[in-house]
Amino acid sequence: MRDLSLEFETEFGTAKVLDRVTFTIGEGEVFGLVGETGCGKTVTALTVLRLLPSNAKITTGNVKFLGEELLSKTDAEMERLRGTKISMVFQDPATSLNPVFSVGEQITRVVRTHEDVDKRAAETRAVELFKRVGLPDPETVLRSYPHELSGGMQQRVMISMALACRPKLLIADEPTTAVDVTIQAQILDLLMELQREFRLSVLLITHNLGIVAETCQRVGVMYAGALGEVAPTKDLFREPLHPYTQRLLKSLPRPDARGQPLASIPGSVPSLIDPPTGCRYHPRCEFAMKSCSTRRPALLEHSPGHRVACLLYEGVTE
Amino acid sequence: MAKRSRRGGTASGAFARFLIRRALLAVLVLLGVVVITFFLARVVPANPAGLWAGVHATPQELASARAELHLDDPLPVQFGYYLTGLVQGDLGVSIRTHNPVLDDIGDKLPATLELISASLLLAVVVGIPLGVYAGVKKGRWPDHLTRFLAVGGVSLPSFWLAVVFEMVFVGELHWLPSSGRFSDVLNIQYPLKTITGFLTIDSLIQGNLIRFGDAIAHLILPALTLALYPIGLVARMVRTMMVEVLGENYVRTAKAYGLPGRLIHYRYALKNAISPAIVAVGLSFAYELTGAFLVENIFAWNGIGQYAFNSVLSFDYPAILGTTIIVAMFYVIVNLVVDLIQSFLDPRIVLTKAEA
Amino acid sequence: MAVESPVREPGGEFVSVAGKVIRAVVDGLHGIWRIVRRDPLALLGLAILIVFIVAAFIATFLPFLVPYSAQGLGAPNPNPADVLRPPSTTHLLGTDEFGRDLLARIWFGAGLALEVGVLTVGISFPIGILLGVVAGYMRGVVEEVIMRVTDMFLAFPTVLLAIVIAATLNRGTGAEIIALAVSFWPWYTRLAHSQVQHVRAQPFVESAVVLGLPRRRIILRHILPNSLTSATIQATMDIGSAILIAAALSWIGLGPQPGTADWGVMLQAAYSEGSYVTFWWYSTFVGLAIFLVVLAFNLIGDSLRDALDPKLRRRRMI
Repeated sequence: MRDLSLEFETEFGTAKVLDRVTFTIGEGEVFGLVGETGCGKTVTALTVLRLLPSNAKITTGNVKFLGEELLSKTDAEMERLRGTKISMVFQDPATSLNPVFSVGEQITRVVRTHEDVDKRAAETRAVELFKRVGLPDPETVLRSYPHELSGGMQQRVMISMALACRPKLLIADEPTTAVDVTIQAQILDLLMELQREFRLSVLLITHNLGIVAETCQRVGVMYAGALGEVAPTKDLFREPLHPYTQRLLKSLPRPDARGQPLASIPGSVPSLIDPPTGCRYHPRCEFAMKSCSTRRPALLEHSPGHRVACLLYEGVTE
Repeated sequence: MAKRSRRGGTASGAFARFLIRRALLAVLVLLGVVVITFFLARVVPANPAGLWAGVHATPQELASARAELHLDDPLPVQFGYYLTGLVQGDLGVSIRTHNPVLDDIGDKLPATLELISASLLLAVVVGIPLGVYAGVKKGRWPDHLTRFLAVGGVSLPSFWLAVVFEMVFVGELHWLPSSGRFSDVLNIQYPLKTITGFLTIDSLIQGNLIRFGDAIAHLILPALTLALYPIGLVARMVRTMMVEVLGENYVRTAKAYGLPGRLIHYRYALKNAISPAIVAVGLSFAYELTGAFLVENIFAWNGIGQYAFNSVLSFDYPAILGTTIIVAMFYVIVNLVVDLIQSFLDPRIVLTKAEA
Repeated sequence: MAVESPVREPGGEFVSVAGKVIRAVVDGLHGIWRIVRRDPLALLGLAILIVFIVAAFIATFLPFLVPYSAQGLGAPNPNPADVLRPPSTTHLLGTDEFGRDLLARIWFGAGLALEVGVLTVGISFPIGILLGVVAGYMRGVVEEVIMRVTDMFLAFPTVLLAIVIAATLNRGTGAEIIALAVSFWPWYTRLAHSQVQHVRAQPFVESAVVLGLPRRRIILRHILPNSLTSATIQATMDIGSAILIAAALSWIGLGPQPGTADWGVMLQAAYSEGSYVTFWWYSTFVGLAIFLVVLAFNLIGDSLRDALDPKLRRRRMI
């Protein structure tokens, strides 16, 4: 995999879920996508896999993977791509695994769909993967049904299914949200280990900036369906440009601010059916100017690799 | 009903308790059925003794008939006699045919079972794919069409359809042989030994292909008539469940890993969606035991439906009682089997106790 | 049902409860219309139903508007030229074996059919629901007794039970209705019972109990309305089933006297005429009338169930 680039410029019909989202993920890179619940992170991921519900419509934009346009591929081509080149780990493993099939059946089915191997070989592969993701007693797990496994184990199964056919790009949608706090770090470490081992590109979707800081090379901050800022993780934490990013970072608990109340962002997430005009963040922005409500900021490069969509940096003044 | 829980070490113990409870309840229910039917059937202002002894019976013959049938005893005593016989597997003697009711039913049951099996096979083979297809194409015209067909099938008067079928395909077009289970000529030319009582199976076992073809030809119309209702039922249930299941996360997962649509629909989703359809098919089986009576009558299908029908019309109460009890027994057994199949299909369901 | 229960302050609360019931009915009809409006098949069902209801209304209350008299045995010596004629401009659907206009016969039959369907459900529905709600709410011995008796009736195949009862009673439409009502009630009891069990576990009922609301009030205000949805849908379709089974009962001779404008009786008459193909209009139009009415109820019920009760509660015993 050389140059993976993903570009979105999508706009959804009545509910404008994504508004010209643009970012790229390099080979072997971990790209974090952060934002509040409902800001369009998961939809972005599903767009890459072309798994959007039938009422979703892509109005503009394109998605390129290894130089190929994904949005114009046929359904059959997409089917071949899913699981083998692009794969996904879902947020809630308990409902994302089929309850009436053993996990072994589910993982071998994935392997056998994409590769011409017999059942025995697929099972061997599954057992290896289970070992690799740290599942104890892989043979037993193979015969278990999802409900017989703990949340952490389910997520490990999920990860091994996602990696069963050696994808290049792994989309991890809040992979640790549904598991116990004590397991979260383990799952995250496992994902990062596997990322290095398989030289995976990872699109890590999360609302947790702490996870981003630990794992991602670059990060995109999303607000109400629009990308506010894209930057290398270090730069973002050192010099957050977008007012929303600044507030987000302030809302993190800090060791040096012990005893003080956590900062929060006033106002609430806007409706996507009728999003604010201009910059979608302007109603909550402390630096909002008049033109913020009329002009939509473009995602412009501020310093190398650091792009931001805010009129403050476009030289606009009152 | 069934309780969802993790599989534990006590599962087999719980299962045994479940079975015992269900068996006790079944006996209780059957007893109730006997009581209700017995008294209901005896309210009928008929003259069983006259029927028994014949039209030209003398007063003496009538009196002895009354004695033989215990008609002069008070109702509870009569019921006692009946129950005593029942426990010994004696359903009494049919007033109309003068045969033991159990023998009559044993004679006719295979014909009905064959007919119902054929119609339910049709229901499964046609109804499930129809339902899956409609569910996948939800809201588009294939969905509306299958829905219309399914609801239409449920709304057709089966006895009317049977008449139309019979008169058009047999009476006018002569495409299919006339009613009955077999052609008399073939029955003489190519006799068949009774093994299972299912003509299709018996003829296959004995390698008698002519009789097999004949049996199928006779089976088509009644089975199709009877199948319309369960086809509609199964298609609707599968469709509704499919719509629900296709929205589940695990279906998205399967898609995300590139599994082909057909596999997802017919295997991954269907196994989750099929449970109510299994229940429907199971319950139809018991229901059609008598639901078939009009259709059996029109196609001269010598089964239990026709037997029940004639018994009711001639107030042959031992036969009415006998058929009702047998059918109720099927109901109870089928219910149990349906529950067992469900727990097999969905490993999350562990049978613990009957409905709380 | 709510109206008939004793109330503490006869005047005020009765009026308010009655007002609420009326309001609930209006809301319910409005809700049904909102669902039906969006579903072409349900609209079709509604259209068919309205045609039949109007026809039945005219036949019952304004019989002189029907162009041909259809009751009784017809003329003593019908003109052979009028007997069993195929459809023509004078007799749109042809004539029967007594030279009567078939359209008029079917027209009058509509009133009878709807009467049987509505009365059957109208009798069995309240009885069944009441027993089910009482069983579900009282629990203990009351519940055991009611539900076991229900099970016994459920173990009878509906049609056989109806036949046995109809054969027991004097033949006629009344006997049909009673036979059907006796066979139908246990389904509602079973349905209401399981609904009550489901509903009483809901948080809002628990909070009503915690708040110390009296028992009867909890049943009336909280449990009953919530239990009614699926039973109502079932009842809609059961009107169709009742018409269907009643026609079968009439067909085998357990219904009203020959000559009555009853669809089942008419079909039997058509059947005994022999050749279906020669006298095709007779069986076809009568059968079509039964089919259309039953279809109308089923289409509407099906649409409602899809929208309100997608789980398709299973009918079962024990």
